Amino acid sequence: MKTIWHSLHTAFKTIWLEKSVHLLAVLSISIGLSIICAFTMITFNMDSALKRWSRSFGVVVYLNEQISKERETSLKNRFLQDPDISEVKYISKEQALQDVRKTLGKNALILDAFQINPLPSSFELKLKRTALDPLIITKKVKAIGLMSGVKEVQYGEKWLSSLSTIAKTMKIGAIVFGSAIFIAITFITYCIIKIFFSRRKDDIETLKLLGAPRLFIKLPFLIEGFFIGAVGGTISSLLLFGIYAFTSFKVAEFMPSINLFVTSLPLLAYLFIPCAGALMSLTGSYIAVGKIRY
Amino acid sequence: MILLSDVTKNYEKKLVLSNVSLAVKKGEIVFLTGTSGAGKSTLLKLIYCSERPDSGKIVVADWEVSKLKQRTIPRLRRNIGIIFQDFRLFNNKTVYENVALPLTFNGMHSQTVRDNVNSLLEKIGLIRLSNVFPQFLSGGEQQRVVVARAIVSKPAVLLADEPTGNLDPDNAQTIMRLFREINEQGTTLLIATHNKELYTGTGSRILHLNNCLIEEDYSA
Repeated sequence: MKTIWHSLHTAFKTIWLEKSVHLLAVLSISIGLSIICAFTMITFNMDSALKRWSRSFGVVVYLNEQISKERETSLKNRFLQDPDISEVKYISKEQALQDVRKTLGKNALILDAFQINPLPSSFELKLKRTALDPLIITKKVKAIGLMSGVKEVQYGEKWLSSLSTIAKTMKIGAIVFGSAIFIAITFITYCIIKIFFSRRKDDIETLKLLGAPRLFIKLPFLIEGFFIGAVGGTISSLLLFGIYAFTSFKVAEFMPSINLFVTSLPLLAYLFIPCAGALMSLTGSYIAVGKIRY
Repeated sequence: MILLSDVTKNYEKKLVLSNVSLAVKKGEIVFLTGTSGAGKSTLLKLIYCSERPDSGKIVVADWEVSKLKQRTIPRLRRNIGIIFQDFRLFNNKTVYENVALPLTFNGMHSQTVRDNVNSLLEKIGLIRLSNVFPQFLSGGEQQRVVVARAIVSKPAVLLADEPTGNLDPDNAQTIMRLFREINEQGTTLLIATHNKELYTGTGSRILHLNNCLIEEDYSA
């Protein structure tokens, strides 16, 4: 307890005495974290957009003209049992014709030229989000296409593929970018703590000669690192929330549709940012202090 | 309490101590004398494990210092009070904080720390300066702070490197009185000094270092 109290006192005394350097470190960390957080927010919004759009994503299975009722029922049961399919909707020939008429509106007269209903009956399948991977879908569509009674299978292949690629790229980008920022923040703290450590070399030597335990020597530096990371993280967390609030309240006054695209990060994420900053910074200062040798 | 047997120490091929052997009993006051560069400070450094001997064995209060592991060194040093020739005071800490520091390592209760430190500062005439930073003190005052820091935890062994180097005769005598007081409580003292007045006529044991050896071992 004594050690912790002394370390806190020493750390905050140093922070106060070296205000400008610490302020610079805090700003650098908050800028770094803000960049990565903004990137994460964009990725998060892309992901939630993908989730929303995926709800309406479907595969249409067109059936043969001569398909029997039994076969239709058997196909329906098979789709219902498929773990990747969340919803199965049967559209009869008549229903399909009615839908087309509704879509064509005044131009529906063109359909009267047909003596028989040219439209096939079909199944509209909604896939679960976990199955919204181009590879899985292609495989599934191929398998459905080979089923007896199935004439053709259609789905938004290109659309899905590009959306999936963007989401994947963003995720990989966030990981790469996040790692780079992690290294940068760790390095910033490492440099700052290393400078302070070198400046206090004589004092540290005296502490060692007086028999100070390792923790007693290290802890003030670790607290300093933790503090600048946590403050940097808090600033970027507030900044991020500020940007979100500004976008969804102020910008939305002129562009209401923006609220359809912008989603706030979960509250826990705003708390996580200072913790992440503190952890990164703590790592940097831990490396900078290194092993105390007597 | 302190035992050196056949200790040799070189600094980059320059021989400083050659096969030095000595034994200091518990509760003894021993003065280490010799010209500058005779190896007095090196001998003290070997005892508090700031330097390692090239050969030989050093034992301090049941600790075999020459074989001590890194993690055990702080524990040894907490049992030794050291008065450094170059003071080594913390300029960002007040006189009080400097003196209280060794007690903080031991996790002593704040009130006990306060009582011990204040009574010691009172005794050496520094109580009115307890909130002053060392850079604002005279050389003599700084030296007294160093002495206070070394003895505040009532160590088993006290090593002093020129403890009265910057003091006037009156203050030097105050410090010596303190040393005797702490010695009466069981602390063993090894004092490296040039100041003959400190030991002349005291009957204390004198070890005279010369030519890398303990040349004389006698009572003053």
